[in-house]
Amino acid sequence: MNFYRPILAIESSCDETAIAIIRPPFELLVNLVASQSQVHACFGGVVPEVASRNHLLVIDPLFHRALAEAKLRPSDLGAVVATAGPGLAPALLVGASYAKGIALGLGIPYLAVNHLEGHLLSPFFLKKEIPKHLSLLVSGGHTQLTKVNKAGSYYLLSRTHDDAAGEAFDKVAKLLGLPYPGGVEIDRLAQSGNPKRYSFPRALMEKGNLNFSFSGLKTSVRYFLEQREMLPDSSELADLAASFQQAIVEVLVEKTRRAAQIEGLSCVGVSGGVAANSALRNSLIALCRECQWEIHFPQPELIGDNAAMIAYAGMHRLIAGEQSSVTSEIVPQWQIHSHC
Amino acid sequence: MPPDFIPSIFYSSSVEETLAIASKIVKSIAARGIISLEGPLGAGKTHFVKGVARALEIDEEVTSPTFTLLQIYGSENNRLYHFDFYRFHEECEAADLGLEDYFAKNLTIIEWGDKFPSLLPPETIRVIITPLENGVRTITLTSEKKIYAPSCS
Repeated sequence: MNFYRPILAIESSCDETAIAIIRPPFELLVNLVASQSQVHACFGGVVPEVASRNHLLVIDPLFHRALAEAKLRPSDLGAVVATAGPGLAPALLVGASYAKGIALGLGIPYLAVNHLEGHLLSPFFLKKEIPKHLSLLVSGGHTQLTKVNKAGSYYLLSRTHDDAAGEAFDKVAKLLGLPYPGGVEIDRLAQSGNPKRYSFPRALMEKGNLNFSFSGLKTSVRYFLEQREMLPDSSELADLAASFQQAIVEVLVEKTRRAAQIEGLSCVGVSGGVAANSALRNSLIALCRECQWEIHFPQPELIGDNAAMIAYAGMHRLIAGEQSSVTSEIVPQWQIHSHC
Repeated sequence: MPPDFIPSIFYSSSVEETLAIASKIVKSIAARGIISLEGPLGAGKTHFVKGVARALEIDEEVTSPTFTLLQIYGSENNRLYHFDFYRFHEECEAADLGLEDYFAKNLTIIEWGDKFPSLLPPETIRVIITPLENGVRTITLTSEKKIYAPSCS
């Protein structure tokens, strides 16, 4: 392939349908995520939130809008990449099949991309180099520490035994009766709360343990609420949010510190939805300042699920000479250590 | 499951006991079937599935499927499908997963299955985890649809 022709990327591994186009090596032409309001506007009526059918409804109009916004014709594209896993099979199938169709129709390369690899590289989006670093990926579905040697070379150090950090935020917000999206609401409330008022458990903190467990924390918040006669008032609610958030943040920061020290890494990349949490960001920035490490976060529009990160991860692999067959299958359980 | 199936109640006061009860339950039923796993947030549903995986000699780590909606464990002849209805608001969303494609094969466990009982086939076994005080839980095994279980509104 011609490395300077635009790469189109499709992401449909879970809730979001997203299409992005980048012009290698350093230019983002368009980055679209179909939100539910757009789905409503296009098709009217009530469209279920998490339905795989939604991907099918929006993917074609989204593709044409992406080309129009990038001022490209289909024949200008040099390659098509798509998320092939991990994710929900019916959802993955829509994006990967659509991408293969374009590749076949235009006679250009197709490449299957790992969704987690997209997140891992997102803090370094379109930067000249991806340094050797420690990656902390924290989202609703994933919480893991990975050693990144370079693009395409990963070693999984640890992951959660049960709930992901973003899931814990979401479920505790629900227990506290907070509106959706719960993680954002906890972050907001916690800013006026006292993080030391209540003590919630920090799991797996014994020496050398890099893994995570957040289900006990969620359960302890539930017990706490059940033991009270009354619902918390607004100042207690802020203190509860702050104390809970502090428990998660402390664990994430401490495990990041340990992993970086054990692996001798002096650069940290943070990705996934929880990378937007202000307390986590501040604590990680403080850690890295103290240890004199570099720290990188994704741009705000690359924090949630998006296709730009898939385009970027795909670009590195295409440049390395990789390509997938259009008969290749989706891989719903594709883990990042498959790349080791 | 025979029609005269009698509900069984187990008591668990620790994660280890929940794992052991789950292993016992899954060994007592056929390795193929559908379990609706019910109980409030933090009841220990995912831990129950860890026990099931242990009984099936699946050594992969079982994690919460809340955001991913489905986790698949095991190998071709020993699969465990682990669904979660927690994030669904409407029955049609859950129906879109194509559940019936999974029901015929191996063992399927659906957390929060009671949110959409009409999607569950009649032979579904219900496992209801009810937290009591002091960290003790009852784990109730039944095939009846009428037993009350708290739902996640």
